[in-house]
Amino acid sequence: MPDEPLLRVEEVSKHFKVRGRTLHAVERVSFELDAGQTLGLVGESGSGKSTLGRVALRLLEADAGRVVFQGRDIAKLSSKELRQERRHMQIIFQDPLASLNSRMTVGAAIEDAMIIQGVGTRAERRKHVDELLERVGLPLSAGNAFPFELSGGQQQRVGIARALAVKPKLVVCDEPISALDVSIQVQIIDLLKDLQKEMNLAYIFISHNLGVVQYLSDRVMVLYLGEVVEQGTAQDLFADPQHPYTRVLIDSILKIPESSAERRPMTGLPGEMPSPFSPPVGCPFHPRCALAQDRCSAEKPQMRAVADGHLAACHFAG
Amino acid sequence: MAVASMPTSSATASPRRRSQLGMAWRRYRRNWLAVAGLVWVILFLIIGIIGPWIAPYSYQATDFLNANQGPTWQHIFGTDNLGHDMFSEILWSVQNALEIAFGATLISFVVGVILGLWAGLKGGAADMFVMRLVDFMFAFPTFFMDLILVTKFGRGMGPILFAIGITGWAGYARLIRSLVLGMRNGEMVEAATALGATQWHIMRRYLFPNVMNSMLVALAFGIPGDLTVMAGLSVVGMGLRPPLPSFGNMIAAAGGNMLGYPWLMYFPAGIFAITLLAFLFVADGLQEALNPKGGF
Repeated sequence: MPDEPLLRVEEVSKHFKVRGRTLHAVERVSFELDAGQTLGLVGESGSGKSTLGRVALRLLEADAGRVVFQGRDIAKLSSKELRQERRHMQIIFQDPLASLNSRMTVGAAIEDAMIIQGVGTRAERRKHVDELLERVGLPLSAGNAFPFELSGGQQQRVGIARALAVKPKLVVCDEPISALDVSIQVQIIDLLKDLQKEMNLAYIFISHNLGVVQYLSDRVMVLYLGEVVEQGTAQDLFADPQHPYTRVLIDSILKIPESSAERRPMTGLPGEMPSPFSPPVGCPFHPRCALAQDRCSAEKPQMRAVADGHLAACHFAG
Repeated sequence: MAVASMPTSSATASPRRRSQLGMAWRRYRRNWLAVAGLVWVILFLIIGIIGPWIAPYSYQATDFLNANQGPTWQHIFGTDNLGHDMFSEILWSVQNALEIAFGATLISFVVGVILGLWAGLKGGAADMFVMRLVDFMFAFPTFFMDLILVTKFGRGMGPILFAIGITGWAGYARLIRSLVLGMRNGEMVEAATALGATQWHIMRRYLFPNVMNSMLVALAFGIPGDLTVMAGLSVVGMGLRPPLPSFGNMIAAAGGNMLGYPWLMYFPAGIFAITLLAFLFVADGLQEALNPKGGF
């Protein structure tokens, strides 16, 4: 099939049982992602972004729905097939130090990715490790260092090198820059962008930093309480946000005002996200929404197109 | 530690691959007490093996004409009330002490590792069961249990070794369970899973190297602990049955006549104390040396 997307997620839900209660982490989320494209996932902490990213890689099993990767339903793969398929789908973590083995040198950690996937001979793997180190901007000597001997930015470069060692097609970036200094964030973002172009990678980029998402993403999905409230191309969504939640998120981006006319009071979002154990009836956002009316607490808004390829789940959108 | 993330900066000086063992040894060498302890422990091990051959007398040989003698050239550590040569007795004791200490620690270790791994990896009911068993072992006075077991099964090498071993596993089980539990759901394992690693690969390359060092240190601390328990059994009269020599027996026997024949106490107690300290220094040194964050 020529127009089959690299990754197709259909109506995926994920629930966790916590002490007898059900936590609705992800509710009926669908999206498609083509090779070389980036999907940005934004939302507050606890909105289900990371869970969705892990479900897409089958690091967590979906409770409902399908995840189709390269035309194959990954839930139907045997564990051996899945392990082989993992070569094409990788993940970069928020905390690179926690994701690396502190008893393995950086070079060994990157090489281990290739060993696991049975790639190349020993000499080829070593050579590829050096190439990767160079490509992600680490000195060759870093291969002999242990992860904790490196700075946070360098550790994240190791995480990237390891994920790319097996030449994946899809990489889930789970808040890869949230733990880094601002100056380092820019370097890592540029690196990710360059690598995407070179290797035709598809990214699922999870972040609560909207500026970065806008910069990197082709399409953006806004999650609230595990549900998609708005999705569209990055351009449309940031230029013309339709859902009140998206608007609040965009308004909360801190910009340095260039003139006194641009100065405006900061508008935060009142309250906390409701408990995912008992999501509100009707629109999940209505308890905090400035536009909410009686209808919002009774009737759940459906996703509908407000423009070509731009969908929002709000009664007042469009 | 934080090196600027410029490509030109060098994180390490030498480009060759560093071996974990080599670096651990370098760190170990810095601690002179640990090195001294290691020398003593190695000496102790060698004597444990060759002691019976170099001993000038048999541990059963008695010389009533020369009983209760102070140190002389003939009997450099003196003789006891039956005329046993103390030097030979100590050489023989080292072997018995080592056999029991290593054997018992090995039994505890194997039982503890198996139960701890099972509890940590399986979780749920298995974890509950093992941990209640561990609680029981900790709450129960194990020395008392050792006495019961030795009384029941006799005072030979085997029963004592078994009794000390079977009562000492709880600490190892608890340690390895907590280590495994902490890593099982961590991002390190998740990252390895995402790379497509098998359970076996994750165990071998990720979990095991991270628990091994702690286990080695626990082992090194466990050996002097078991030596002490073994001596303790002798002191209450339930240790190795004489004439099999052991440090505990000699110390217990000398206690009754400390003022008259103090050398009977000095030599075995002194050597035993130094041995315990040596093992502890080694364990301490290992703890520091095996931590990769300990520097170079």
